[in-house]
Amino acid sequence: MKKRWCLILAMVLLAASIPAAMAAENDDPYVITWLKDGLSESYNTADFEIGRHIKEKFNIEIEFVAFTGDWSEKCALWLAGGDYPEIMQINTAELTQQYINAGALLSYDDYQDIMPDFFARFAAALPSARACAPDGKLYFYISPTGALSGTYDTPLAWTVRSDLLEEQGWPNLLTASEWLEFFKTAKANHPTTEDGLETYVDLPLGEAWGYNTLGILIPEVYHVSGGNQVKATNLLDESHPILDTWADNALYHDTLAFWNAMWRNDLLDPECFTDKCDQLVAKSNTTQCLASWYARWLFGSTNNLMIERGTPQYTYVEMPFRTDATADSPRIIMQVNSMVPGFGNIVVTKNCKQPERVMELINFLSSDEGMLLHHWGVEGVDYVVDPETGKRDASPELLDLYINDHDGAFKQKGFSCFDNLGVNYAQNYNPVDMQPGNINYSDSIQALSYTERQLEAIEKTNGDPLPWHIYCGEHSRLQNTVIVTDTLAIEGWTIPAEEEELLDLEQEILDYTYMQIPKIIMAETEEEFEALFAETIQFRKDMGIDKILDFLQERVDALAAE
Amino acid sequence: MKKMDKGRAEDLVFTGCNGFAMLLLVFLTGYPILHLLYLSLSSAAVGNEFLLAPRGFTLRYYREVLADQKVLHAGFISMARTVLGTGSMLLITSAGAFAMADRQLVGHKALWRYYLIPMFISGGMIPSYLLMKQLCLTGTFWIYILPSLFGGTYNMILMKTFMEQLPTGLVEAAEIDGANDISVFFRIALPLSLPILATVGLFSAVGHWNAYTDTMLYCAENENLHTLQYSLMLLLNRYSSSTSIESIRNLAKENGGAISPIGLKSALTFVTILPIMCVYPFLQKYFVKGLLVGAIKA
Repeated sequence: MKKRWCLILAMVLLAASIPAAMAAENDDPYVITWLKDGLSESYNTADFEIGRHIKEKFNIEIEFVAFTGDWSEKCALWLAGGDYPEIMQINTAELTQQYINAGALLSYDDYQDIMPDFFARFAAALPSARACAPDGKLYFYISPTGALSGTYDTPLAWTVRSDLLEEQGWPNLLTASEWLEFFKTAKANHPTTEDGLETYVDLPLGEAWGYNTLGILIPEVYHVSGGNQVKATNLLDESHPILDTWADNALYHDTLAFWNAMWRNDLLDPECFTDKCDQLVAKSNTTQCLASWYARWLFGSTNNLMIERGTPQYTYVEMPFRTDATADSPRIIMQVNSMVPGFGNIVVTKNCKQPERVMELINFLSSDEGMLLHHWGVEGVDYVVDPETGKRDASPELLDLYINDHDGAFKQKGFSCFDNLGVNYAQNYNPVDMQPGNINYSDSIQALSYTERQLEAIEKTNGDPLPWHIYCGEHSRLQNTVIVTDTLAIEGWTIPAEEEELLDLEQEILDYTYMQIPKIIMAETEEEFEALFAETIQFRKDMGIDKILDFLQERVDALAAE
Repeated sequence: MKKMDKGRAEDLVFTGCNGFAMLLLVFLTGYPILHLLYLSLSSAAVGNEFLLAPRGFTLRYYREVLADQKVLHAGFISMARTVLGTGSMLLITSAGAFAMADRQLVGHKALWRYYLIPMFISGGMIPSYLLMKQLCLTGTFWIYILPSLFGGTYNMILMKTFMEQLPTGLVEAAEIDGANDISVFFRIALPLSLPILATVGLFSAVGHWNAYTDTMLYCAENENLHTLQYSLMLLLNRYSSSTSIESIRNLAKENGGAISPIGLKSALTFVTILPIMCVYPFLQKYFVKGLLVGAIKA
């Protein structure tokens, strides 16, 4: 009797679950969990308005989960265990190659018929991506290939205390000589803070990327570091696009000479060689830092603190820089049109449950319609278009939300919530319409991102109230912008993993160079500086740097020939 | 008399110097913790200075850390794994130690070798990961408990050595009264082994509380299984990795003012170490006794 009742109950439950299962398959959205390195906070795209618009079209949600730890290790374990996620971003060329070789990835080529916009947008770059796979198929793409970089928010700039600018009559500074004189005067007027702390120009050279920030890129033009703008500045010698070594390019000499002059005039913080971002923030909070280079994003919280304290005059503001010799050089904007695996390779794996739907989504986000919806929202609601110029800007209603309900309704819009999946030009220009890739970089919203004091400082020094116009506005001292299209695969500047001897040599040269840089900067006289600089160049030559440069030149030439 | 006076004077000098040296040591070892506490209670205006007290007292950083629901949930997960993991580890490892303490155990030598070899050689990360995956433990809470049920050969050695010194007369008397091995284990061996259990338990508890790597490797995708360390690391990244001025500005606005990464890190560190610091004094009395007695063979 008992057994009979159990059997009947089991059958009833089974019968009840069938329609539920069918219903689940039809109506429930396709939820993809994407573990993402470098994400500050987890979120689901369906939590946002734009995410819901896209969900209506494709019934897809992506649950982005923040990750902390060794991402490469995680990806390697996934590959070993075969339990890699449906979609992922792989951050090294070697791992991407391993995934391709292991057959873990789906090829985008197999879905060409449903991805016309994707293939059209990346047409110029795809051949270099296909070259990575043994079968010549496309297994990854990099975002934001095709963007025009270096248009906004370039980190290669000073962040300087605005009271110092005001004191010296709001000078529009650019060249190394001008900055040196400026800092000398500033230090003479403010040798210490109000609390008696000695003031200096500080740099976060203690960070792993610290030495890469010392101006026009110390010393490894071929060493892949972040920022295409940075690489582009090394293309000024058109006859020798890659081989800009210390010996050949005066930029390195002049840049280091500038830092040495700063040191000899007691302007550079002696602790800068070991200071990290935390120390820089601490020193800027106490106004001990007169100015810094590159790490401009750290000063947002400091500026808020100055306002909170009632001392907005100490707000930090960005200003450009050039060596004396390059004051009139063109400002280079680079368009990357190659896809050699580097950082940020987006792949769809064989564990993807419904790859066709994912590919359709990627295609949509690559289309003009999708990019506009994803990064700008709805026309007439979130943005407006100037009928005469065609320029897009945030709508008055959106600006109102930005000012009065930023953390609520504005954030709920969810601009760029599919950032990591689709094409994202963010702060760079969209090369198709030469407008900001993202509504957060529209003129109106950009203006709101700056404090009153910053806007005042920019207007008085540059004659133009919009901060990014110090680089590209009518009054900017940086003229003659040149767009350089990278068809030479700048990512080809990296030495491949199988060239172990060259990689070891490269590391040896890097280690030596990073050891020499502080000595060169801290030279007590100009003669000592020149001697140390020459000694370093010669030693690098003796170590065999030409072997590496010749190899890379051949590699890039071969890619260009393809 | 003179000799006695000289002796007393020497004693006094020695005591004075000794005391001074100990105080200095206490200061050198204790001040970094105090400094951390002061940094976590100071406003953002503080740089890297020598602090004798918090400057610009604020609880902002602790509010930020403790107000986050994910951090609280992660704290619960950490607490659960610490209690369950430590308790189960002590039970299983002490049972193994009790069995190995009996030299009459069949296959004692072979078992001993079986336990010793993994103490020196391990499979590595990828084999471990593959094993956990095949056991369907990845992405579950039991990944925190089951792999560490056996607390390691080293801990078993400590416990075994301690148990070997338990009075055999007690065990024999119990056996005469009809107690089987399980009764002897639970009623005699375990209660008498409190010192070593407390010692090993504390090591294990600290290990569970501070665990981070297993979350990163096995449970990163599931936020409901994040441990406190992992969650706090995510929180710290949230403030440290912001690269746009706007996001920093918004974070600062959300938090009623500037956020100093140093202050936040200090608060995170304190939230992490405080529970263990509170438990430690209660186990102090077992510590020395347990370590020494467990290590020395009678």
